[in-house]
Amino acid sequence: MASIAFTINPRIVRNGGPITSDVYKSHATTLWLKGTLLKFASGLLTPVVDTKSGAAEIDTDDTGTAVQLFVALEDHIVAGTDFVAVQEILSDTVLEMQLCASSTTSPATAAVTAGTSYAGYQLQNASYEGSGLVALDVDDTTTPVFRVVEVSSNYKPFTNTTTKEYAKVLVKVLPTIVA
Amino acid sequence: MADFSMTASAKSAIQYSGADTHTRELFVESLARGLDMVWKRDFTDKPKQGMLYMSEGTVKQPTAKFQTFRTIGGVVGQNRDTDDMDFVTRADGFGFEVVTYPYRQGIKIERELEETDDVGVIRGMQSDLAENALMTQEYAVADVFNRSIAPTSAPLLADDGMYLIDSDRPNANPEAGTWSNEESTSAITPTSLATAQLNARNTTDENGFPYPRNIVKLLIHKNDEKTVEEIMKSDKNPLNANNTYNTMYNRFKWEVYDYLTTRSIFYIMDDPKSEKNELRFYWRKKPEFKTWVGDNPDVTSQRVRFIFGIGCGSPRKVWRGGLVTA
Repeated sequence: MASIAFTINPRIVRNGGPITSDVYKSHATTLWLKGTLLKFASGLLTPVVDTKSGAAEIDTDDTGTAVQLFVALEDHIVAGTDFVAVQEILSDTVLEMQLCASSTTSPATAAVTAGTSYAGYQLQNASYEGSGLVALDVDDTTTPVFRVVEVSSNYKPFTNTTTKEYAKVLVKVLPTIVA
Repeated sequence: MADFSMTASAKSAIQYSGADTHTRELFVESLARGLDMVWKRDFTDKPKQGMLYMSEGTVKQPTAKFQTFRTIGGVVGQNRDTDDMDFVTRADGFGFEVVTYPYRQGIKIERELEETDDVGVIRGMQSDLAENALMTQEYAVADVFNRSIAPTSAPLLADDGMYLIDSDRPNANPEAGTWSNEESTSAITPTSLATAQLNARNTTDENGFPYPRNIVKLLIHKNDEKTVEEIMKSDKNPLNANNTYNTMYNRFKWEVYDYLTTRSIFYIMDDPKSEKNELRFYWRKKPEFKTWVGDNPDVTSQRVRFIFGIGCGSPRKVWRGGLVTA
């Protein structure tokens, strides 16, 4: 049984790329909320969403390879091509992500291995063209996006273990994707 | 017309922007115009209890080694002046190691946010980091107690190689046999408290000689507060209707340890802040803050850094405990 009760998007915690609000423009009709993972479509920012209908995985098919990826710093919820604030994800950028399990029941840090790469899992948001919260899927290592750098049980041994604060990992986006 | 018939509707959580730097996009609502009041809702009045149960020390190296040696122990034999006299020796006791680990957390603030912040969204971040440092200590200490009685693993072992609370504990003196500071798992009753007090009195020293201790305070799980209060404030035994005297009436002070997640009770037998408490919080570096500007002159950074480890010699003088059933 799946366990996909995560609550936040990935957050950049180390080596974030440049932050800008006057360089990149949004796609006119693909809308998103801040924190969403973004990529380019015809030179305009658009959310990274699962390209396979009905699925929720975020894999290399969805991000592309040798691309630029961004985190949206502000909502884009009104249609129109606007400059938007984003922070770029570089090859050495470290993000902290929550865990989920698309097929098993244990999205615990013990279920992931540092150095192994995983795909993401997206809670789709019907209001904003499918963009939604993304977590690391402990059950999916096919065409992965995120390589686990460290698990929270190591880097944050003392914390409130009853919340999702505990089941997190530090990841890097694979260098072939953000080349 | 006034609306006095509102129905509840949960709001969505407020997501972070996902950036590693504080920019004005993080505070779209707080920095909006026309607000009557904007403030940081903090929870710094959370109880800070853990350090009350630890003595404190400082170490210089990442791994600190401690070693004890024993007293001669025993009693003096009868011996006439002109007879051959016995000479006795003492020997090493148990030793232990404490490993300290560094902890760091930082913030970055974009200059534009500093310039446009007229409500104080960037004020008090140092105190937030300080609070996080305090809570790290709190959970580190709580982890010691939560995994101290019959755990599958623990964050530390006492110098005798056993958990903080354990039975069949070895003594350094091979003649002394074993001892225990673990009470049987049970509900908290006047009888269980009397048994714990009796067992405290029966404590032996490292050489196996009586070393009577007295319980001075109970450290309890929040679920047991009502039970303990009833026992301590009833002159008759609250567990029966026989009007028998409650021998534990007003006997001990007690304190709820709010970060205790394992249902357990700890019997404190001496001042935990004194040298007698060998459960010790070792600082290699107390929390310190540093503010700097890096490659980009318009991004200010600040971090908190501290280094500590927790170790335990012998819990014999201060700690007894046991798991509690409902």
